[in-house]
Amino acid sequence: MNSSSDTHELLELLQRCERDDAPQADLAALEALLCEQESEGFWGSFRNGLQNGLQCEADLVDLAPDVLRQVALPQAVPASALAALRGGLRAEAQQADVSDAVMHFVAPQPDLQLERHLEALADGLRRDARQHLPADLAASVLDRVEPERDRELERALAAMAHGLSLAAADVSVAEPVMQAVTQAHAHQLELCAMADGQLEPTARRAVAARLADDTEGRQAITAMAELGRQLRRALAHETAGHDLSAVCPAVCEELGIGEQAEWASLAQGIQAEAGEIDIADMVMDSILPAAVQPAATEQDTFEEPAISVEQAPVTAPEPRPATPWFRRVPLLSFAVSAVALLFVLNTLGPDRGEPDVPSEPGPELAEFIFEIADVNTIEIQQLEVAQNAMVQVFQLEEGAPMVILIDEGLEPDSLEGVTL
Amino acid sequence: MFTANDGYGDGPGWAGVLSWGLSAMAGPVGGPEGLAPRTKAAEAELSDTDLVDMVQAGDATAFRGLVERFQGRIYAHIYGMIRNREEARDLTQETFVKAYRNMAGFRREAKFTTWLYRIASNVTIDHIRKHRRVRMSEFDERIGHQDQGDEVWDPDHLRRNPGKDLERAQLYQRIMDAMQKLGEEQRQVVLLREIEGFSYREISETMGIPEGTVMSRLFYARKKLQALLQETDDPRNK
Repeated sequence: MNSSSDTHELLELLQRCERDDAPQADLAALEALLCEQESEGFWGSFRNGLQNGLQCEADLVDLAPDVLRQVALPQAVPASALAALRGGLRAEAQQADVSDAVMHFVAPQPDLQLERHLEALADGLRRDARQHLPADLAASVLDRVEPERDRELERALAAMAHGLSLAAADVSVAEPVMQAVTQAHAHQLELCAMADGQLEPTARRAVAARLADDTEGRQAITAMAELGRQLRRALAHETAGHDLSAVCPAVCEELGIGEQAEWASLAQGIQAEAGEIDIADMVMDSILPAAVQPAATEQDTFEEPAISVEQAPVTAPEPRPATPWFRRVPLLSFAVSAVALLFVLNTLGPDRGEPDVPSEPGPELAEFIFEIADVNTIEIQQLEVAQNAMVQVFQLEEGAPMVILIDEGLEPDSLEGVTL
Repeated sequence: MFTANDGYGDGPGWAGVLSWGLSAMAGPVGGPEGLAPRTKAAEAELSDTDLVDMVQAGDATAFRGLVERFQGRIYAHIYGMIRNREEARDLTQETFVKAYRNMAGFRREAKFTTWLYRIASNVTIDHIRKHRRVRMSEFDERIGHQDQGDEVWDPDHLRRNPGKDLERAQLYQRIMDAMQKLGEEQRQVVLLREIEGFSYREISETMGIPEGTVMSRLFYARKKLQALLQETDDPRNK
């Protein structure tokens, strides 16, 4: 099966099998070939062939010839697997829903051999496929397959199935599929979520405790943090000189959100209002300098309200008019209430029902002094945490970002075995 | 009566009454209850929800505040996706125009930012798919040369530590190149997480995918990015 002549024969067989009136004998022969395919060294070339084929064409219509072309290459040995996939994809383009097929494939079958995996996938796709594949099928499949480059076949195929399920745009199937896929990577995904601060507290504490003895895990977290940091810098660096000043005016113009007319209307309104109450100056002082853009142009065209209001002498330019004291009354009342409430809570908190009884001292604070290289944007010189907190600091390489994990409010039992 | 909100809080206040009927905005959600314009400083104190409330109540100028507040972030996200300055700017505009026109349909089931990023993502993905016919080789060539003509370069910065800055710039270039080699869904999830700091739940809402998928996609994307950067780090590949 590894020779190019075998591949040629297989291609011919495939072409015959693709017809609606394909002879049963040919179909049986194709099935037999699929079952005979050996799995040794299979995945690498399979992936390459598939990837190349898919990359060549994003649209399914043109996918099959490209896959075929890859199959025809001598180095792309696993022709039968490609054939199976090809058959599935072609069928999928003509029929309906792929979800059952994906689920069928993803269902745990640890005892199955490679060929049967492929067969199951291909059969499922043929039997239960979509009418029209989304245009991003190739990208979705590749997204899932590519990270699995050097991993076990089962995982790679599971990931591929996931990609197909996404391509099928069937949301209901995605979560169950993900459960199957994530089982294979539970630990790494956990680290990923840990690095992102997305784990639930209990899970986070468990992972943090495990990380104390897991050098590889700490390296992975450090690498993720470093990658994120560099990405932020890279994007900031690349967009640093980009001018966005035209965006807002363009949006407003397209939406008909005019400025001039609006401000003129407001000025007229205030002029009318100022005849009755003395608020015009304050209003205009408050509004004009900051809100009219560009300030100089707008102010030049703005007519000063014809009102006779005495203005206080201005001694120094103020960015904003002072807020009258009586407008701060609600805020001050709030602040006073908050302080009073804090005082009462501190006095009558848990175990402090009687004000005269001295309260129990709070948890003793432990002090840690950190010296962090000045390349970091945040420098922690001193960190105080309660004794029932766990602090972990990772910096595995010089210059790598320092990861500090702090878990507060831990039960004493959960601190066992954790070193600071 | 003076109110503490200067006309842009929960109640209309005197300024709101004053401007009643004066506001000349004509938006899809426009109504007669338009509130008065406000200073930028005051506008900065308003929450996103406040501004959205005002837009939905007919104060179209409040939308300008939302544009100014989010344009940089939306632009960065879109630029990270397509890495083309002009197109990113156009798509940023398109995002806000679509957001405004659909503001009446925003029902607070998600945060405004999530909703806005979803629009931005859809606009961007649509754009990418329209241009999908560009072959990978052409694409690589294009991103290798784009935006270099009018890039702002700070010579003072270079003088400070030219060797290191150059090295750093090369690293950034490699990172951005690697980003473009991710699938758009992976790129999107990485940007939402690493640049926007969205939680998995927010990313899930923005992209309309389960949280488990977010986690998985992010994991694979990071692995791939790391692999790509290691490849380019390898002197044999230079």
